Amino acid sequence: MFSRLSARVRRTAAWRLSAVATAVFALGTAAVFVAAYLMLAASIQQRGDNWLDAEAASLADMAATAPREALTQEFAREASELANRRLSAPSEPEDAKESVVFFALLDRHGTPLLVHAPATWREILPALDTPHNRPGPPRSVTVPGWEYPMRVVSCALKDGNVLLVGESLRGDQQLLDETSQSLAWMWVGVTVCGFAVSWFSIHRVLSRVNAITEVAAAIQPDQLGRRLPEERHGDEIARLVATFNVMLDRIETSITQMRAIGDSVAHDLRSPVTAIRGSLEMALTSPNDGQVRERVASALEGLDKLSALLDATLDATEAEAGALRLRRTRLDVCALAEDVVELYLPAAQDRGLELNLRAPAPVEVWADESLLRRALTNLLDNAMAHLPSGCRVEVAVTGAARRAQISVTDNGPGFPAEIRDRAFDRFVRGRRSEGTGLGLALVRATALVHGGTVRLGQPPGGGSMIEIEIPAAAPETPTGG
Amino acid sequence: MRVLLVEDDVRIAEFLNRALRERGYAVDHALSAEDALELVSEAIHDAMIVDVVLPGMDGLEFIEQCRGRGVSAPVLILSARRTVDDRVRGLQRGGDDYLTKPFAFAELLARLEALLRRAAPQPAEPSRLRVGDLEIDLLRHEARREARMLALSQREFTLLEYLCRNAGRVVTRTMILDHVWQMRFDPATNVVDVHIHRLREKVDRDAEHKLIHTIRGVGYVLKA
Repeated sequence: MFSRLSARVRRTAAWRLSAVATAVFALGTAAVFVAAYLMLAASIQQRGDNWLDAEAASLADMAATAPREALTQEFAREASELANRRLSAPSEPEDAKESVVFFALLDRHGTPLLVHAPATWREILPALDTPHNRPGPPRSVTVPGWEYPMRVVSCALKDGNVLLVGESLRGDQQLLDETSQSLAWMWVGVTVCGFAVSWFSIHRVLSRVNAITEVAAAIQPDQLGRRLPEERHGDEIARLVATFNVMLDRIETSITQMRAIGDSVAHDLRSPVTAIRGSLEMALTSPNDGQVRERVASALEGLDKLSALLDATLDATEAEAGALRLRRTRLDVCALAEDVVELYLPAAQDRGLELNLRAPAPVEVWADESLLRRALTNLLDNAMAHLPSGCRVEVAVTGAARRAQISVTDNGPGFPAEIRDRAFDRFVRGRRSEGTGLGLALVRATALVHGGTVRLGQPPGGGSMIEIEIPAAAPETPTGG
Repeated sequence: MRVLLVEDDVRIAEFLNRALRERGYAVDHALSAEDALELVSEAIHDAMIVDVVLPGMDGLEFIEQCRGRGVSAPVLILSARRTVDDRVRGLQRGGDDYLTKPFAFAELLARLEALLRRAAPQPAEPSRLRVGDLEIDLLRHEARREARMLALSQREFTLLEYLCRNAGRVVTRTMILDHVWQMRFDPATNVVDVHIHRLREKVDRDAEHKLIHTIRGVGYVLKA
């Protein structure tokens, strides 16, 4: 049970992250502690050595000038002073085998002339054999059988004798041992605390991620309403939550839209299919050849309309989904508008409409020509389909402040009030419209995909005005590379 | 002329097969690219009609393999995908022309014939086209019926030229929009019909013998 649980815990990112963080932290603190220990040890030794050097120097002075007795007394005085000082430290064991200091005066052959040391210290003299007797800086001497080494300094006197001053390193060593022990315990404690803190904080953050996972897993096509609670503080996870909710909003919108479109398409497809089927059926049963041809032709026309509807639906869907890949070229909107107006002029005249173009100066844009042309033809298709005879339509192209505006204005009856607000949505059309309800959706998608806008205006004298505004191209050829 | 048709939809294949045979073509049909590769190695085809979506190897890869084997016959690609990107991709991978489904057979035929003409040695480009008593001068941009000079706008001239170049063949509205206005989509308004109507007024009015004919449900044909 526990092993299964711990295996599961060990697979979590929280465990891995905190383990790695703790390992790095532990290594770092260990390095710091070791460095502190080494520095402490070096400084303690330095202090001891300084004392030894000073002591040896002052005793050497005295040995040169004062009589031996004075030196003996001085040895005793120094030793007892030191012993008193040491005794005040409570950690000092009374029965310590090793005492603290010794002083010795040897002749040039190494024979002791004067020794001041605890009784048990006789055995150190052999250990202080040459070359220890030679003058020099303080050095560590290991006495066989003793737990702690000595620190000894020897000092040559003018008469050829050698003065030795030594100090046991027991106190220093014990201090260092205690320090290193407490450092080790501190290290263990800090590491454990570090692990606990990092595990808990990482676990807390990741449990918020888990909540997102759970909501994401629970999202089903019929349960799109679930959202994550938004958090107040704007950290990374809160931003993820916000983004995730926005994404869910978008998914919900598009699925809802897709259902609406599905219904609409079903309706728009069924009617023409029924008509085509009827024509063909009648052709089959028609007695005379002329009627057969007529009905087949009518079926073909129906199929063409159906095909156009399919194209328009796919285009509008792709355009709105942002799936359009633009093939941008630098082009003059005026020339394009001129082309389109020329194409529509006869058809407009046939319908008794007046079609004008107002394009005073070239306006260059960086745009997908086919899409832009299509948007404009959609606007004119609308005008041709909805305006009563005698109306006036004006296509205007203007450029100002690095924007290009293409507008189609008419003085007809205007947009039905009930669809004004949704005129650019897919499958929205006036009650009497026979269009697909896709034309303006594609116009808007075209404007948006070019980084522009589209708006429905009301000209002062009545009628309707639709204006596409997209960024104009930079005056000169945009980029060299 | 022998044409290789690679199309997995049996109904489309059957209709194309029959219609092309009626026009005097010999047709080899394969349901998959793998079968088609065998046919390619057995006979020399003057042109190929290849559907993009096939079971197994797709049409574009088939074209690449053919080109890799040194088959140079022109290829007309059939596809249900109609974005400019798809078209460009098809042409980049060795296709010569691209036709989207659904299509009018008249358009397929016109494109196929254009491909075959291109593949054949080119006769010198004529400076005049003549259909019955209609004559158009491509250099001077003039059109006349017998002695009567036709007063045509620039666009009307282009339209008439396109009809003349396809004299005897049916051209659809889509083809006209593509060639005369460079538009690859059909507007909802009957713009082409109105333009043809105007052109017909100028070309056929007063003439005893009409040249521009409407084929209902398909398009237009200019014939003497």
